[in-house]
Amino acid sequence: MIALLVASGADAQRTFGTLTVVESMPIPAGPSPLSAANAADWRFVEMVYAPLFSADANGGFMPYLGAKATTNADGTELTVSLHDDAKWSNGRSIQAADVVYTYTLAKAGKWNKAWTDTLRPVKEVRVADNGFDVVFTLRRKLPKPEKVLTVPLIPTGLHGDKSQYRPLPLGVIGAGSYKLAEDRVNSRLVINEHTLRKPKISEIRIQSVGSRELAVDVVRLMGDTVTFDVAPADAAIVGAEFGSRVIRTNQKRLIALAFHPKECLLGDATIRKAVTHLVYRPELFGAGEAVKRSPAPVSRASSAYPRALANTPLAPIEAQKILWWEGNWQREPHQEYFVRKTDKNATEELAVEMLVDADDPYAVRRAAVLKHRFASAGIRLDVDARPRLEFTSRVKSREFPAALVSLDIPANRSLRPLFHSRGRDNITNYKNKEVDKLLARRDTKGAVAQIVKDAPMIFLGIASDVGVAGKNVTIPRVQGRGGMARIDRWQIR
Amino acid sequence: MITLLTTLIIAAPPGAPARAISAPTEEACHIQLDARSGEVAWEVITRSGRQLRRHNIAKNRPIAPPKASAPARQMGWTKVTRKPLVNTLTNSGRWAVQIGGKEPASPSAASDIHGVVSPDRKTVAFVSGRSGQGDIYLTPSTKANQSPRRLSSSALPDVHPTWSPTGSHLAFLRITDRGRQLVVMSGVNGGKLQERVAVDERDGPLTLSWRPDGKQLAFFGRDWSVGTALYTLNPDMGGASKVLGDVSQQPGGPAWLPDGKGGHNLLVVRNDALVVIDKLGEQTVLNPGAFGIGEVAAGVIGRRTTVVFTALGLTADENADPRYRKVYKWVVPTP
Repeated sequence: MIALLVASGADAQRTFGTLTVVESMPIPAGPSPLSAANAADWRFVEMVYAPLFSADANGGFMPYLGAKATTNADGTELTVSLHDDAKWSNGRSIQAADVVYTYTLAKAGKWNKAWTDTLRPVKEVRVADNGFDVVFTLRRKLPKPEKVLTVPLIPTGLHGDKSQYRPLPLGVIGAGSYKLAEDRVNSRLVINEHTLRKPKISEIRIQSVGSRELAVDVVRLMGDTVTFDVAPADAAIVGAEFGSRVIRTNQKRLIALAFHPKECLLGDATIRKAVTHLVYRPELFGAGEAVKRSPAPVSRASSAYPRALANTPLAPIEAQKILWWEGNWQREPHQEYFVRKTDKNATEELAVEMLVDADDPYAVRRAAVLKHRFASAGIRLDVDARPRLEFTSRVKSREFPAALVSLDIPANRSLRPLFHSRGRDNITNYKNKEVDKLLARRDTKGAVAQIVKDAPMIFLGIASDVGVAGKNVTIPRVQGRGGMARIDRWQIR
Repeated sequence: MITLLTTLIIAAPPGAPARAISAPTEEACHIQLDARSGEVAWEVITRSGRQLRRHNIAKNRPIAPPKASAPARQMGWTKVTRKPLVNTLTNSGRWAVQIGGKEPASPSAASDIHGVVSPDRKTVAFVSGRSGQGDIYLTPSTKANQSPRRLSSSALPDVHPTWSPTGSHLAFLRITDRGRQLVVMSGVNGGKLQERVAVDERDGPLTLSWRPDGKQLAFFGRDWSVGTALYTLNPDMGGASKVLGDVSQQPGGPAWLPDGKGGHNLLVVRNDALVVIDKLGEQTVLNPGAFGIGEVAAGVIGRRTTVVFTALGLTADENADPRYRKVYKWVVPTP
C-alpha cells in the first residue's frame, strides 16, 4: 500500500509542472482564432481554444468538440453533432449557435484572413432543425470534409460587434486545454477543468524576453522551458548545445524581396532585370542559417524548382550595362547613383526604399549586403528598419514600396494564399488569371513557371523554423501554426 | 523622461583603414574588449557550437584557443589565476561557469550562465537555475567548488548581471510577465544590500553597460516608434533619458569611447555607421569604411584609442565575403 502511494506520488510529480514559454515578441494581448496575427498569437490560441475536429499526425482528423460528422449522399452537406460534454472554460455548454457565430465571423475574415482558404468551399453554416447539430452546406464534394471543421471555436459575443477588435468584450473564453489563471492576465494559463483533452502539464507561463539571444539563454538556464524563437544562425548548432531538445516545426517560410509594382522602381522590368545580376543568394544567408536558397517560391526538392535559374552569378557591370542601354538611366563619373530626366525636366535618382524587420537580425544583415551590392551598381537602397509589430502591420496592409519579407507557406505547400489574386497573403496584389486557374487545378509546376516569369517578388530562399526545449520537456510532436496544437500530450519529466 | 534632441552631426575625417583580426570564414559575434590586458575576445558560430576566439591587440597577435572543443560563450578576464572565465557546456549536458576548467561554484543539476568577473577580478557573478527560477549568485574566482552566495531572490528570472566599475553595484535584467526590468543592486561588496527597479517594462531594457567612471548606465531599450533606442541613467537617482533612437542593439550593451580628456562618450551603431555621442548630445559619425556593421567595442590600448567592430566586409574590398561577419580593429582618428 505504501509502495503504491509512493509510486502514484512520483508519477504525479513526473507528469505535472509549470512550463515556461519564452517569446521574443510581446505577450499576446488576448487574441482569438479570428484575430491572431503572428506565431506567438497562434501559440496562445492553440492552448486556449479548441476546434470541432483537429488534425492528427497522419494527415487525418479526429473529433475534439464535435462528436461525429456525417455527409449526405452527394457530399454537399456536412452535419456535425457536438460532444455532450463540450463546455466553455466558464462552464457554459457549447451550443450550435456558437459554432454558427464562429464560422460566420471566420468566413468574413474581419480581423485576419487565416481561415479564408479553409472555408472557401463552405457556402452556409446553420443550426440543424433539431436545434443541437450544425449543418455545413458545401459548394462541392470534398475529399476530407472534416478540414473545414478545424476552426477553433469562440463563444457567441466574444468579439461583440464586428467593428470591435480588442479587448475581447467577454474576456478570453475558449474550450481548449488551458484558460487564464486571472482575468486579463494573459501570461499565466492553468488547466481548463471543462476541457475534453486534459493536459499533463498543470500550468503555462508566458514570458516575453525581447530578443532571440535572451530567449535561448533562458532555455539554457531552465530545464522546463521552451522557445520557438531560436536565432536562425543558431540552427546549425542547437544540436550541439541542446542535444535532442531541438524542435523542428513543419512550418516553412518564403524569404523574398517584395515590392509594390507601381510605387517602387523594382516594378520596372528593366531595373528588375539589372537587379537579378546583383542578388547573389549564397551571400545573403549567414553561417548555419536554416534557409535553403531558391529563385522560386518552392524548395530545391520540388519538381517545380526552376533549375536553370539556380546559380545566377554576381555581375554589377552587367547590371550597369542594362540600366545604361536598356533603361535610359545615366551616370556621370562624379555621380554615385544612376539618374534620369523626368517628363517635367527634373532629375530622378535610381533609389529604392526597402522596409526591413528590425527585430530580425538576419533580415537586417541581408539588407546590408543588398545595400552594398546595389550601391556597387549605382542603385541607392535606403533601408527602413522598423519594429516587428509595425513591420508586420505595414506588410499585411501593403503599405510599403519594397520589403524584405518572410511569409508563411501552408503545411500542404499550397501557393494559393501567396499568389492567388484573392489569396490571404498576396501582399503584392499579384493578379494573373492564368496563375489562378493553375493554382485551382493544383498545377504547382505550371504556376511556379508563370510566377517566376512575372516576378511579383525577387525570391531569395525557403526557411524552416527551428526551436529548442529545456531538458525536462518532452514533446511527442510539434503541430499547428504556433507549434503547440497538441500541448495536451507534452510532459515535464 | 527627458529626450535630448541632437541636431549637430559632424563627420570625422577618415583615418587609417580598419584591419581584420578574425578568420575570414568564421561568423563572429559578441565581442568583448578588455583594455587593461589589451585583449579582445569574441564568439564564433561553428557547426559544433559556439567557440571563443581571442586576440591580443597590444601585441597584435591571436591567442591560441583552448584545446577543448566544448561549446563556449562569453568570457571574462581574471587576474588572480591568470586564466579566463568561460561559460561552457559540460559533458553532462549542463552549462557551467568555469575558470581554468574548474567551476568556482559547486555544481548543481541546473545550468549556470552569464558568468562575469568583478572589476577587482576576485569575485564571479553568475546566473543559476539551481533555485528553480534563475537567480544571481556570487562566488570567489580564486577557489573552486565553493558554495555560492545567493544575491537576488526574486520569483522571476534575473539574468545578465553587469558589475559597476567600482564593484559596489550590480545591474541586471529581470524578466517579468510584462517584459523586462533593469534592476540595480547596491552594497554588493559590503554594506547593506539594496535593490531598486531603475527602469521598468515601458522602456524594455535589453542590454546595458556602465560608464567607466561608474556614474552612468547606458542601455538599449525598446522604443515602439523607432525600434531600439539608446538610453542613459544615473544609477543612484534613476530617471532614464532617451539619447538616440533607431540604433542597433548589441549583446555587450552600448560601447564607451574615451574622449582623450579623461571622459567617455557613447559609441553605437546606427544606419551602418558608428556614431559617437558626447555629453551634450552632439553626434559625430565615424566611418571605418565597412558595411553590415554589427557590434562595436572601444578602449585605449597602448595610448591609442582603438575601436573593435564586427562587419560583413570593407567597402573598398571587392573580394570581401559577406557570408561571414568578421572582427576588425581600427585606430580612431581624432575628430
